Amino acid sequence: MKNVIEIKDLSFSYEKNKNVLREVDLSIEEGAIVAILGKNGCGKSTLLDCIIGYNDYNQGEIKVDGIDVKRLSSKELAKKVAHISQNTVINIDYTVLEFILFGRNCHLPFGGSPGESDYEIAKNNAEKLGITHLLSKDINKLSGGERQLAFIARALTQESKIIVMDEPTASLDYGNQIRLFKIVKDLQRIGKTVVFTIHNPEHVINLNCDVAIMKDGKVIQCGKAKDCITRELLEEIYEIKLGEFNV
Amino acid sequence: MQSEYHKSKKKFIISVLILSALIVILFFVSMSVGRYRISFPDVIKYFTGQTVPELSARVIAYLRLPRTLLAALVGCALAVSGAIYQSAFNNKLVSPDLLGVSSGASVGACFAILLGLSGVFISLFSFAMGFIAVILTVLIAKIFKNKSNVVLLLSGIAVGGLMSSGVGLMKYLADDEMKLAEMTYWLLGDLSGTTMKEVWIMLPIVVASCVVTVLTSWRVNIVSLGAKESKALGINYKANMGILIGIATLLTAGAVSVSGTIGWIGLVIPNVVRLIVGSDNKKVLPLSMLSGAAFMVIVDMLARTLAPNEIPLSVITGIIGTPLFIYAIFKRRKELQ
Repeated sequence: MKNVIEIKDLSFSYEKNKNVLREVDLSIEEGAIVAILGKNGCGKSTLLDCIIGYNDYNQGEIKVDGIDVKRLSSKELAKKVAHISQNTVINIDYTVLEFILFGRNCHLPFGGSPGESDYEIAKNNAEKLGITHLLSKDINKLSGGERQLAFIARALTQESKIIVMDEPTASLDYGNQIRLFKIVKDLQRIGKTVVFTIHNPEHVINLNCDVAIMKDGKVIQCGKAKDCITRELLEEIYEIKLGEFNV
Repeated sequence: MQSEYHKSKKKFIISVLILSALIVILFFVSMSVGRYRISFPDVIKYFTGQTVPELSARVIAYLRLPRTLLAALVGCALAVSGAIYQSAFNNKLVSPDLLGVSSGASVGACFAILLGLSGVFISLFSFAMGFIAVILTVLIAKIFKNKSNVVLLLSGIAVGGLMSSGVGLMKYLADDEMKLAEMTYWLLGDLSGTTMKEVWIMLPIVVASCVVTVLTSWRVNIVSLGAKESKALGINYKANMGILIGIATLLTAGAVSVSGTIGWIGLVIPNVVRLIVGSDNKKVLPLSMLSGAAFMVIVDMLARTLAPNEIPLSVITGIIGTPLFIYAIFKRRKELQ
């Protein structure tokens, strides 16, 4: 399998001399599911923001599909990578259908707007995820789970081969978390590469996916979740004693 | 069965046709009403090149035609710039004065009046200061090197406050009652004394800005989601925000420079349009242009017919705009909880 994302020696800082990411090396194979695990503030979301081209990193290189991210225009990058975030604030009440259609932007010419075929693609993706009944609803009136599905439908409508998700389980109840992972598996089945950040190591083990473990801005371990995630490692990255919880 | 796409397109085209027809009707009504009443057949005769009484022809050509056209252009400009700002800043409650453009333009106009200048110079000073205020806002925001729009909004509030103080200073320095009265009247919005000169200044600004706005209208939806989402969906956020702020500033500064400050239109019209056709800017922006034009022609007619003396435009927009805005809030009360 070829690597669809290759990160080499990546460093990034929001302020001078305070690197949030430090010499990160990471390779992600095409069609893989990769969970990025680590404690709050270790640089997980910052790393995703570098992959989608939002953070302008000062050192190193990110290649998506063999091309340097910095050489790709916003549109070209969006055709390769779709992004799903729980933190997006939408104060304007777009319908779910309008919101899903935003995914078509990277396929439209300058001044273009979605046509009949784009509407069909959006509706088909909504149907795949079982949210057809929500299409005329206000995006801001959805529950956490429904909203997540709308974002995934938008990412599918974007038709990019990589989907990155920033803490996709953050506002979901347990049932919706499990449903989400089923969808992630389905995405893999249709050939997508899925990279997501997460806080719960048990989910990563159950999903039996690849994992990249981060600490203090560095990727300290990569591999299959069942091989990598050990009690010692969790105690190290979260700086806790796991037994303390039982007392 | 009709697809979602065709339904949406049909609804939009019908709305455009209804509003266009309304503007045409209002245009002819506006030619007819006023202190000197011109019969409808005479108005039609005038525009079809037939002979009409000389006084009627003069009233239409030199008074009503220029001010009605300018009212439509100003209404269109203010409504669409309000809609642009509301979407670009992801906030339905902002108005075209967001980045200090109206208050800056007011300082420019008051300064020109203070210097004893008139006519085109007031417009030029006003236009220039409107732009300078926005440039100042953007430069202050740049100092903070922050990607968030909040800093830009706060800078706008600061510059707006500074410019309001400037207007206060100009009023304080106005040495006779004539200048003070002229400033006050200008600040409340006024289209009396409009000539075709103002129309020819405003027309290319509005047409060019509206063409660019319509071309980019659907993408404004994506810009409204913020910098990160825009990037992820394939939009160059900085460039698009720059274009949108530039267009909205050009339209507002242009409108204020020829008509004075006219409140409410930029806030109310886009919100009423959203109530009717939803929030997709592909529809909201063009329909705001047409609705703003129609609304302002009505306001102008009321301003010159309701009382023996002309009523300042902002007084009327406030009286009509407030209940419309309350209605918009009422319709959306559940979202506000």
